[in-house]
Amino acid sequence: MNHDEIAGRLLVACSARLDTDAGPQGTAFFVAPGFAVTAAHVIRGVNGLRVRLSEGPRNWRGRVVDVRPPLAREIAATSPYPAPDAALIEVDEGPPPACALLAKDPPPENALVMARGYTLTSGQRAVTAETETFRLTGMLETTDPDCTLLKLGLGEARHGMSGGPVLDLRTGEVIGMLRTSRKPGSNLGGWVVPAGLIRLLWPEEVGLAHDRFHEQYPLWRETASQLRDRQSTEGTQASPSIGTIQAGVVSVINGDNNGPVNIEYGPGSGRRGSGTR
Amino acid sequence: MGRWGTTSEIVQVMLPSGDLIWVRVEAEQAATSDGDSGPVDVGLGQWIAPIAETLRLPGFTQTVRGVVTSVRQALDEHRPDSLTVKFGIQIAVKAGAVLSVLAEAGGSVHVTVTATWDRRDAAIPPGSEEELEMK
Repeated sequence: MNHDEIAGRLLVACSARLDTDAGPQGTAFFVAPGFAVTAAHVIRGVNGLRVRLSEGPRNWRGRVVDVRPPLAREIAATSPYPAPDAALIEVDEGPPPACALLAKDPPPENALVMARGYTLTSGQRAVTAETETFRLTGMLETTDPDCTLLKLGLGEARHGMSGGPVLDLRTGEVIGMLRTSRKPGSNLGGWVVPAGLIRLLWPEEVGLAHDRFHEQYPLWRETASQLRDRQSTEGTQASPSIGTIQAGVVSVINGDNNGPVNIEYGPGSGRRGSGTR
Repeated sequence: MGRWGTTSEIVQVMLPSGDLIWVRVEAEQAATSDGDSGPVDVGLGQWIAPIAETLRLPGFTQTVRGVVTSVRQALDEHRPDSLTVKFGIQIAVKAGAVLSVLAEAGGSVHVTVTATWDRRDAAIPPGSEEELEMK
């Protein structure tokens, strides 16, 4: 399994398609036990909205518990949605997911990143997962003084990718959440809500719970470390496997490059991560 | 704003009968005044919602009824024994809404009318065919 395949599997492990009663709406990803985030416009800014998340055979049910900024009549139909454009989902039903390792600081300029989302690219009748690589090209200040978005380029942000995680391929950390295309149908990239801001928006539900989770289950950090090691040696020799990564939360079973990522909680861990909330 | 990333989309629409059909529609490229589309949120719902909201294909029934009624009125005094009307319906996206309009070909709308009379005493010979061109 090469560097990009490992990164892809990390993205699969934490991301999910988001549906409401109105059908598929976009993407979300898990950031802490029992919590996922998506873009506010994906759930149309509706606090309390019931949502369904799914990734392959795994399904979750949840409810939007906070929207930033909250929906106001004058922004109901605007695009782009005002910054930061983020919503918190409390998951109350479903198997234990893997939580993304959120970066505290933005990556350096020109960093190579990969996003994952659920789009209609493969056909207008089917929503399927899609990844895309980008380069970090800059920052974008917004009317919210506390929110500076990350700008991506050299990749296409497709409809359905909103709410999806963006992974730094160098560090293996999720740098933020994709929310906007800079120009649909082009490779001009998009805007990202920084992971550091997501942590600050919900310091307890995401910030503290996220940190506790990754202290208790260091698997993602270990995988990220191997990702960095692999990056330094990539190109000299492709390895068929990075070895089985064992921990309580995520098991990336290797040796089968086309196989799925297996998500498992360790013995004795609760559905929401052993009381890490 | 910028909802349509391509010039052609396949959408599902509901006919007045309740039947759902898939049709390819020509979509407008949303653009700003300088001809360059700007940033757009890339949720899925916002993109497909305008289609879902207009599933019932407004204007379809009125378009068909209007053409048929007009032809029947035009031939009313001749009272044909049978009447066949052929015309095309174009399904188009205008400003985010799905519309059904008479299909154009080269700036003209073609409606082919075939009227037949079995009666020997009719003013128009049997089997006469008349083609109307509407502009």
